[in-house]
Amino acid sequence: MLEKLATLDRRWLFLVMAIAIIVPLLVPVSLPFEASPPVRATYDAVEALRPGQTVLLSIDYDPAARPEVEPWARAVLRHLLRRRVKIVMMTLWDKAPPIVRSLINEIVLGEYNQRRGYFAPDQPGGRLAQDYAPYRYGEDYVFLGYKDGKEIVIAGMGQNLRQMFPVAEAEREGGDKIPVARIPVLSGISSLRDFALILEASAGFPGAKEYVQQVVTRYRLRFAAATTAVSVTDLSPYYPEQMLGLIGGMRGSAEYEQLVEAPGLGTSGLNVLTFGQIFVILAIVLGNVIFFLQRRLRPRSSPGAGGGVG
Amino acid sequence: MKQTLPLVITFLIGTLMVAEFFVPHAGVHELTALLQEWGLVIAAAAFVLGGINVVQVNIPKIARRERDWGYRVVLIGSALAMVIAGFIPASVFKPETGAPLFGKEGIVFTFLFDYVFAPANATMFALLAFFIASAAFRAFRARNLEATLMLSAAIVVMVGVIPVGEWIWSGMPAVKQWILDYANNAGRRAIMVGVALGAVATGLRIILGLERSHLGD
Amino acid sequence: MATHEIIGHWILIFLTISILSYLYADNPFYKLAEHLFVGTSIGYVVVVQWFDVIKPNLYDRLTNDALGPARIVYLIPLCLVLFLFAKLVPRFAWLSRISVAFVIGFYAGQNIPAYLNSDLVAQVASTLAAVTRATKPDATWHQMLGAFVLVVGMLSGLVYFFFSRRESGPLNAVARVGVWVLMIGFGASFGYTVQGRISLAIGRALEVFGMNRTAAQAEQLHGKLVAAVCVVVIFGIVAFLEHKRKLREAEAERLAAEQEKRENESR
Repeated sequence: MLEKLATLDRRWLFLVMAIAIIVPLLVPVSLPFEASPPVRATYDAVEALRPGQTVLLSIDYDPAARPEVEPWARAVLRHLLRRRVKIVMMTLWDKAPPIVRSLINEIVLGEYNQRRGYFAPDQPGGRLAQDYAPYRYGEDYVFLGYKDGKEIVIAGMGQNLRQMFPVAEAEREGGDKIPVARIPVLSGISSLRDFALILEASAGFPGAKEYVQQVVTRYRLRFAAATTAVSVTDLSPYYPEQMLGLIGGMRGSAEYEQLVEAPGLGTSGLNVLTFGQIFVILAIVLGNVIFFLQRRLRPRSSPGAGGGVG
Repeated sequence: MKQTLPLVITFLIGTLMVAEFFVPHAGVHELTALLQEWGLVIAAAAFVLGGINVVQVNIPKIARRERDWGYRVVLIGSALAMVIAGFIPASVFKPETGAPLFGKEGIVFTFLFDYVFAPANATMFALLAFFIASAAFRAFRARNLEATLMLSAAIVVMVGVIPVGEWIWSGMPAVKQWILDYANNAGRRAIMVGVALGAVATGLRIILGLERSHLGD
Repeated sequence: MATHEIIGHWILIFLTISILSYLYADNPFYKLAEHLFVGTSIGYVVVVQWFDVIKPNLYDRLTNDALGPARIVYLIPLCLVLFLFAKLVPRFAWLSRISVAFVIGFYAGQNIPAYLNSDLVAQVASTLAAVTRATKPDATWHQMLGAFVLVVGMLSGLVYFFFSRRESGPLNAVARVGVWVLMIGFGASFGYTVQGRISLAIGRALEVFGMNRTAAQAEQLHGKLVAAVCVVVIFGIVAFLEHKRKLREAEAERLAAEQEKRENESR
């Protein structure tokens, strides 16, 4: 029996994992949770912005990282619109421009400008929005597009943003790009130092770490980022001295959604995550029970040296 | 010249970038920003070169009908479809309202991105969820003190992240945050200091021409 | 919803299940999806690098009359790009080293002050800041304990990296503490990694079922039904292929054993 369990075909584990994800999705349950200090700090930094200030939102993730950081990107975009700040969007990831387009279409044009969804008059966004007026492309927000070069672009933006981004994306799909000199939202902006706050959705390299290394520490910029859960332990040493806030993975995104009263895919995902994580914890416990029982039954077999995660 | 010129260029650019950090002169910043722009153009061109390289590698294999050549046809075909859809000007077929058919924001290009690339990309990474469950069961063993510490920290973090943790004990997220802020940061900072010293040493070796592996030497 | 969006969603489901079928065994559905993924990725990147970087930052600079004679300087990056492509011609391949050297110079030069400033000086300063916070009158006991762990852990970690030797000694005892601290950090990393990986799988399920769309859209997509059909068909075929492969392998083994037996007998 023990031998059988120890050499269990891993496809059974895959099957249980699939069940642990699909069943709670179809039969939703929700448990209350609180925002952690680094998430709340990010929320407070956005909340402290004054209408008319300009913020950089760097969307640096690909479709693979969507479930982890996109719920935050959507929540913070709604928060920024609610605060009536000017938004400059850009990306360092080649796979991100279609993602930014969809964020703009769905949230800025679809929700805010048409006062629907979160921004409907009776919804949290509609109630809390300051000085409501539609967001105009180029005047209130702009999408600068994508640049390759990774750290070089980040460092370059610290010197001269326009040298890196001579043109911005067109307002509509398929239109001609617009020279940055003709974009009012960038009128007072020559480098990263001119933004009131820099926010980033980061899924790896280049991302939050490179921002901190190349420009944030050097120019003492106000910077907060949402990252994939894998990067949290790497970025944690930068909080709170170098990074104002740090949002970690799906859980962090869900916390931010809760703070802005816009429960979305982060919140519904978190409830499912609970079951997946419990399964992994049980797998670890069961694996160890088998290991110790086997060791007791075969006292002469030598215990291995390491404890790697394989 | 084939050897010396690249080394001289790396030396000049590298030295300028180090100096720029310490020289607060507007002219220096302008010059570096201009050079940085050139740098990002070259980085982008490298991707195009990579694309050409993939075609170069695969076409002969298809011509020779090597093993799995059919899949290589799929690879080259889908790459070409993307390139053609992206490079046909948006003005070729532009309806009165809505997005154009072609161009990099056109319907075809976006369709291929949204419904072929994106799900494949996301699912490739989603496979890891299943493999990590298997790794947790098979390899994550409390064999000795070090492994036990690692395992305990992992379980506390996992429980601290899910709402059930708060439901069991309200202090759970705070314990998770404490581990992150202090125990994790202690080790992580030791690693960071080590890596920083390594990065500086490597940077200096490259600038001074002692490290040349990137030039194919 | 437009028809192409609905068909697109079904393709999305088919590709998702095709890749997940790899969990059962390597198979043609997975390979097809994998090659489509790599192909579209390459094509996409070429288009985006041209339109978002090379065109605005090089081509348009060179052809922009408003820049005046100053635009001549952009002939230099043009040459560097051409040098890079010289790699395709063996005789001139060495020219690409110049372009590589140019870019590498940035990474090397930029990273020296960046790492020193943000990952060395600032980390020491942040650790001292935590100690300062812990020595204030309103500090809590866990802040004090934390500051102690932070300082001892960081120093012993550094001792482990730089001074630990094979033979035992007082430094090795300190290094051992460093290892413990590192292990706790790696454990935390593993915990977070589990969160990340499972999140990605959840994301797939949400998208396949159309749960990231409005209820009306989800109804048009029939995500659950299409997914169920794909699972049955794809996993069914994969299981059948796998069964046939095992039979073939068993047959080959049997033949090999017989051959060996015959050879032994003839000897």
